[in-house]
Amino acid sequence: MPDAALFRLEGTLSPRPTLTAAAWLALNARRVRARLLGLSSFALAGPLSAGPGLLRDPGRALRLAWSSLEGMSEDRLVVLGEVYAEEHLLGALSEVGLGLLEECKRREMRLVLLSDNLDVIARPVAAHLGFDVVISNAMELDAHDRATGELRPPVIGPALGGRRLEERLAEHGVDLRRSSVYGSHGADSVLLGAAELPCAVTPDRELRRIARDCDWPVVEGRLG
Amino acid sequence: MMGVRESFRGRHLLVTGFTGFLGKVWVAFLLDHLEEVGRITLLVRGRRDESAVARVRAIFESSPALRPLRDKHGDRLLELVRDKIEVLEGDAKRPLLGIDPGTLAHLAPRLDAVVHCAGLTDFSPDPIQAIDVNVIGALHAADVAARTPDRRLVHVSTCFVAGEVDGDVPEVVDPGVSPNGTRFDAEMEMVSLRSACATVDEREGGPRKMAARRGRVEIGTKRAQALGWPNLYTYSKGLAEHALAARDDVRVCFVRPSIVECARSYPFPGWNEGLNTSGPIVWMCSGFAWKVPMRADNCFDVVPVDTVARGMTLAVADHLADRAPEVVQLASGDHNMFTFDRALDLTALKVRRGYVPSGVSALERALLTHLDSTAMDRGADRSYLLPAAQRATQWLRDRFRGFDKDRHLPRGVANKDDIEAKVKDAHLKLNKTSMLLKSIEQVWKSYQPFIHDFDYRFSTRNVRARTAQLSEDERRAFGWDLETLSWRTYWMDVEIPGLDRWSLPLLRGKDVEGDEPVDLGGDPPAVPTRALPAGRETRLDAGGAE
Repeated sequence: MPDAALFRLEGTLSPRPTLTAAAWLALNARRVRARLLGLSSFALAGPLSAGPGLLRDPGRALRLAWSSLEGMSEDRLVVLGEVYAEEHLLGALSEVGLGLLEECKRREMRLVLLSDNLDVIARPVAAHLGFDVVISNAMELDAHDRATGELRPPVIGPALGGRRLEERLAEHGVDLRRSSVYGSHGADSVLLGAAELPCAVTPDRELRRIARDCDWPVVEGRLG
Repeated sequence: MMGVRESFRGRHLLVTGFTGFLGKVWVAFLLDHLEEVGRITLLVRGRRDESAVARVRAIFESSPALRPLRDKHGDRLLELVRDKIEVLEGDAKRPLLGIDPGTLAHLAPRLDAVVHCAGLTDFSPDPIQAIDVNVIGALHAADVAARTPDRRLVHVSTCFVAGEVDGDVPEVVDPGVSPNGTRFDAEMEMVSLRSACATVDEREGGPRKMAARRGRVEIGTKRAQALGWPNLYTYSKGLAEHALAARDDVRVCFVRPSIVECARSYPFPGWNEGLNTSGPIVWMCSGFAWKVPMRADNCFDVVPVDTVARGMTLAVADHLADRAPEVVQLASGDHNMFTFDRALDLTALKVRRGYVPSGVSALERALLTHLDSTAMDRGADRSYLLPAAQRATQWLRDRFRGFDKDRHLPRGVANKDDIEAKVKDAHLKLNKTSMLLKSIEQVWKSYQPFIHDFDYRFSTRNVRARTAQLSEDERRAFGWDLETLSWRTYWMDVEIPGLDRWSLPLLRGKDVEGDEPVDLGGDPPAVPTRALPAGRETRLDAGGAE
């Protein structure tokens, strides 16, 4: 039986994409001018995130979104992160995701929350849901504890997986090959493919196709 | 090196200012953490309708500052009080603190130190009152200390005696040299200020007239500023330090806290009393003060009252062990700096987190949670509109004042009475708004030196060096602990809720409810009055010796 259970926040537990969190933070900048700048960044990030074909680049969209937080204080990031988690994520969690989480808790597995969101948002969610480990992104801060707009490496991108992620998991004593992984998007497929027990939770079209091809279990349910 | 507990073992202190914010917390802290202390004589002023003993008893029975002691000792609190406390009726403004010579002759030989916490903390007090309480009162405390065997005086001052200076403020006193480098004599300064105030009183037809008070404050403030102190509070505290430092009949340790604010943990998180510096700032910034005349990166030197109590305990312990430095500054800026910008940001975030001042409408609440205060340079930023808004409101109010329905409304207008009533109502509202804007601007102006003009960095080397020498156990109990303070947690979870509970109601004209009184079961013991032994006389004038 797997030792650990890895849950992807975006999709598996929450229907809200990371870009929404970045937009909300930018719209709550301290000064009105910064809010307007944030808005203009999202006017560009939107098509990159959900646009068709060649235009689509979710990783670049997120980088652009995070860059709009440049100059925001660490205090503001932390407090607004908590507010966002409480007001926009915890109240609308996926029932099926929560059910799977309870099952893993019952089996006393180590619980790992994976997210390409900022740690200031992922940590309050993880604390509320009882996760043991959180792997997420952190905003780089300057000497005055203000956001530079860049993420601190190693960056967790929308497409999870790869050696770097495995190394970060290993730092917490988690072996991906002895873990269950729950994901919902096509971008999670690399991670699911490396797990002992992959599971597609209410998958999008791409992941549904991959799950069918790979014969992974699919759990359906209502998201949020 | 002798520890804190050892320094206090069996010692007898005379403490003034117990009824004040810091005095209460410090005495409670001592009683709770230092059972070794021998005795504390509390010098308290009686009121017309309440004796000193009754005032002390009431504080022990209901002040939240004493709550941990009430919880800890329950019905047996009176035993502790009778074992450790005695009350002496007195008055800092009177010679020898108002202690009669016979009582003092009996008490003084038993005292190990005088700790003088009493003082006025208003920024613009009547200068005569400020001199009498803050300077003459300190000299009276020194007169009492001079009669004790070891002549020890701990004088609680303020870091802001530094006056109008920028940058590092060392822990030194330079007697006779004012903050701007002017040489002066503290005694002569008081004489000339009294004389100038007497002239004002004469001109205005007596000291009780409002114009006379205004005149005295104005002339006193000008004198303070001529020497480099921004206001009468810092001037009077500064004069006291200079006058005390010039005396050679007492050994003084100056304890200088910076801005004393809500307790971090003792007596409990958030405890505050009265209107302190941050109260009006938080009140305005959690309201509609979107542009605040502060320098964003200047240090906002706040220290929780219980941290100050720790620092004071270390200073008194060192003075009792005859190794105290002359000055101990209790501040935060040189090792855990908090800025005005951060205070504004955290206040706005607290509003976002659900803290909204009471009495605001749903629309105002929505606005408040989405428009955050920012600091601005008063001189350079043209978006500082408060003075202009005040003038405009005043102008409009004055236009409405002389409204006459028959003169200003054309003939044939129906409902003239209704229109007149509406105009009168508008006049009243404009008058109220104008007064509010004026008082806000006055607050900002009185705070301006500390929040805008000068960026202080008070050295706290002495208290931190002493903390480093403490044993692990004593460091936990008495050590300076500000390095470990998270300003975000303190400001949002302690300071703002504390101000909201204990201070801001006063700004809204409401009372602050204390604890439900618990019957102490008896009075704290009073120091018995004694006659002076035959053949001995005492000079009672300030600075006089037996």
